[in-house]
Amino acid sequence: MLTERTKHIKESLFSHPRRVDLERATLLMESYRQTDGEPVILRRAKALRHVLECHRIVLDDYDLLVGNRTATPRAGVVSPEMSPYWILDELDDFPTRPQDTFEMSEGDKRFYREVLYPFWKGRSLNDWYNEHCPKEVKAAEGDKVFAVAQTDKGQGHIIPDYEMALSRGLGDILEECQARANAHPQNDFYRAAVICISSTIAYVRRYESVVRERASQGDVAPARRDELLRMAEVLSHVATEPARDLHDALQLVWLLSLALQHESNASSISLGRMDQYLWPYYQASVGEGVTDAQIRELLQCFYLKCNTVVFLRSTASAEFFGGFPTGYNLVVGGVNERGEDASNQLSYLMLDLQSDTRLPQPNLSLRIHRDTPRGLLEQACRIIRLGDGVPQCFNDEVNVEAFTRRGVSIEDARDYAVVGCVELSVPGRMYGLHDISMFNILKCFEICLREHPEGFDDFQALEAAIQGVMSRYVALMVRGCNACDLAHRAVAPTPLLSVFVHDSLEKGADITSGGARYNPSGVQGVGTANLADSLEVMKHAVFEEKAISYPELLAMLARDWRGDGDEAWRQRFVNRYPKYGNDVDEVDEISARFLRFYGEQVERYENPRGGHFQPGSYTVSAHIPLGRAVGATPDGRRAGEQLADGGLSPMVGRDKSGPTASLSSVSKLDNVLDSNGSLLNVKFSPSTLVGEGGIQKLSAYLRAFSRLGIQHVQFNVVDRATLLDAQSHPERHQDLIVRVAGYSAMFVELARGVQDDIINRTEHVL
Amino acid sequence: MTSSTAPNTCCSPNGALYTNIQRFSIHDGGGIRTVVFLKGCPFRCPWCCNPENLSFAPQTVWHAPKCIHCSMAQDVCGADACPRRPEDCPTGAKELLGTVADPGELLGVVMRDRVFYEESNGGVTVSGGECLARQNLSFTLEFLAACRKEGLDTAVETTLAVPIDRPELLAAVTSTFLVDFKIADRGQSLRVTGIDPSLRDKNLERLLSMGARVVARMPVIPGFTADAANVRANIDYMRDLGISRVDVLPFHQMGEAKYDSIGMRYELRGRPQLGEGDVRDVVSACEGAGLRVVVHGE
Repeated sequence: MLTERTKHIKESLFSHPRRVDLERATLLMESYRQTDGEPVILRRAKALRHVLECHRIVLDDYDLLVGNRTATPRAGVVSPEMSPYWILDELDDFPTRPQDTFEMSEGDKRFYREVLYPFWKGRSLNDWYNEHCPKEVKAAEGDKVFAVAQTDKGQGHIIPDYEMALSRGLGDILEECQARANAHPQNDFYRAAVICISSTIAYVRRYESVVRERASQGDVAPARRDELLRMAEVLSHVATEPARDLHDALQLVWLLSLALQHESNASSISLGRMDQYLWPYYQASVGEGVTDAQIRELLQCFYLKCNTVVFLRSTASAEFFGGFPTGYNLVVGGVNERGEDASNQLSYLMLDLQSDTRLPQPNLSLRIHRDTPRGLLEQACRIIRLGDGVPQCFNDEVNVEAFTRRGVSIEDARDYAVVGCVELSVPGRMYGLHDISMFNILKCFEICLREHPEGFDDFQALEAAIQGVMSRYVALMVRGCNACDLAHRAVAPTPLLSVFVHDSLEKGADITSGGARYNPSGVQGVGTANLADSLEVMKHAVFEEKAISYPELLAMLARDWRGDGDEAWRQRFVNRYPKYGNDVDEVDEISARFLRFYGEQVERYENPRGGHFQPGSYTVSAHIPLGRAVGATPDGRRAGEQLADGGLSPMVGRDKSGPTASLSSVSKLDNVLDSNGSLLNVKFSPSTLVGEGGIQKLSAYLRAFSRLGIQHVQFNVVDRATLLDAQSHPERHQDLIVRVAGYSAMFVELARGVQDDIINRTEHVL
Repeated sequence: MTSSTAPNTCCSPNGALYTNIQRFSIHDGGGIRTVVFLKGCPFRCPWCCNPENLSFAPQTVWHAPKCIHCSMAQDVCGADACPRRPEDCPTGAKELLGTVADPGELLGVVMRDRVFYEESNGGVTVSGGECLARQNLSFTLEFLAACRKEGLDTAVETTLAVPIDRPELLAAVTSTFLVDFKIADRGQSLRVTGIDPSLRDKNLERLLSMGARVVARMPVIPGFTADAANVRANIDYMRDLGISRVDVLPFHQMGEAKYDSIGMRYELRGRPQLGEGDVRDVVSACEGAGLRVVVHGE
């Protein structure tokens, strides 16, 4: 349960309208005006310093932790230094667009048009990318097979080494940076690192002085004054010293994460394995005599803080990632570096806190392995049953191997955590460009059919031709991704973040220049479920039964099933041929074959940081816009209809054999290849999970999931009637949280299309 | 709303047909289970929720809402009027129910969920229809034996009110018997459902004497089984027999639409479903008699 204090904080999250905030953009511009001609990395460091010195600090009368990204919670921070263009185009749309609306004052709009936009025009990351992205890649993007991401925003999708910050303290880290800078005076990264760390220390001290000043004011109640003085003491200590207990640790993690947000303004600067690195500080607090109730309240404060930051996306991007996912991914459980169960009391507590806060962030994940304690699994099931879509579950039995196969050491692989939605990363050691592009495999199929009006001699020839198209576009996609990779190096290095990602300090290089130990680029193959369903129909109806000719089929697709008698064919294709997700080997294996082919294509390519491309398979909410780009397909899909959700999930409404059959289908994929992460949605009706029996059955389902070698699964547990009611009466369901894809969001804040998609996902009910 | 019953041309040596294999069943004998629904039942409970499993013969059924009128005008569509064969119907509106139940083939299907059974202490349940009816019995025995050979937990859901010549064969391959307790009064039961409770009890006694595990299943149907006296009488029988577990099954209407598809009259159409709160008295009565109760089954 929330306490009086944390109830106040939760209410305050939603008491302001969400608005666009120009403060950071303005401060960045002010700094850039002073640093013209200096190396980019120093300009970035100095700009960060200016933001940390000047942005407005806000204090409330309740919180035990301080640190505000913006003056009002959940404000949208624009980054014109990454791309000023889309913001200009969409200034008037922020309050009314279909997804992720924000208020914006006329004064701010004018300031943006007249000051910020002209300043950043021509010198943003997006400009660099457009100048350096090959023409062929741009043209290919027009074919809508792929779109390179992060060409207009920070890269994010990374977990800094918070453990290092806590155990060494910022003072010690500053000394190391200083020593390295002294030893290598020509190295701009070290000079930038010194600026960044000393600014972060000063930033913590700014909060300390604001807190002390408040404590000295006459209108503060004595009890609150004591709290403020205690908070000031914590801030004074963690400015330079290692954390002593849980309060120190949470305060430092939060302020460091904020400083990193001020630097990058990116989605998913994630929290990593918090039950692991907080454990010694939790034990210290317990040892000091801090009560369970106090610990719980402190953690509640931290969880609520994670909801104060939302990520403002362009309208197009918001359609792919609707509902402001910020990516405070927090992982509990899993194995330690020796492969033994690593769970502790905090693992249980950090799951249980969701029943107090009931908000979308932090985005909780449970790592499951064969020795996950039964109690922890049951605890996770009880939280899943609440219906908030968390924790999502990751499977050590496949994810560790997925990384070792990519050359990650076994110890580092066992320490994996999650960024973004479902992307796998190694905390503090990997800069993985995990969300750099999605690849629409179904679009490749459509292009292939269009390029071959003459048809094919046999089914194998058709498959080979589709694979030819895929190879062609993969080659183009990686060139686009690499241009974006280099754009971040050239225009937007992140020296503060790099200090907390090994081995940047050892190598003397920012992560954008290859400083990290592991440097993959992750690209997601999407649409295999629809492709497999389509090919299964063609294999039988066209090639074997010869029930319909290839040209007739193409004509029908071209007219989107609108011809006389087409609907009977469409129904026949939908109903009379096996579909992926029903545990039918033939069609499941088509899906497996194409996902494997995609993975093998992707992993051949290198990126400029010395890493390799690696495949993933998740869609977030992109199956809706990606589906819009593809015409009718032989699986009975209409033109523009969504693709299968998730990444690994069957097409909506086509999995009719229950949730064990769908897991079985997914298990036939070569899941270990998807080292960038993959996503499976399963929806249960609440009635399926009632009582202790429901918990036992969900636990068993998760154990089976682990044994079947599937990477990820997440659950929506909410009945259709509730969702439909929330669509018609949003005012009654302001607190309804649902799983979108790798993250949860408030249902009423989602666009209609995404809402419909969630409603239509097959509900397993008994 | 039409139906046609094809002549039983089934050539299976055992004669059994099935209509559905339901994976991830979670109220039918413990854990996560696969339930095989056999076709055909000698009894006629007015509240039956699986009316497609009453006839022993294959049936062409008609799911009117699925029809897209691909072959004729809307007003003449129907299972008999439609010229398409069920296998040519694009939507499945016209469907032939009743597939020859081959033990080896069905074993292949149920084995696909072995991991789920192992993790949940689940297994396989044969239901119906009446899976122990003469036409179904030899399949059931053979199939359960095959499941047992693979180490699977097995259950049957049955009235037990059928002649069983060699109950030891059945007991040897069945981990749990889920046995109906419906109308307790013999005369009333024979009149309304055709079930002879005394035959059930005779079978039960023999099975229990062989050490069989039995869970009673008591559907709570207003107007038929829900009255206190009937519940009391059922409980007394259970206690006399030494049964300690009962599933209380509140009346539901999930079978309503199926009557339309088969073109059968449904006496309980439109009657309100019962919730857990509506069966509280029944649960208390059972618990008061020392029975362990699970509402909806486990």
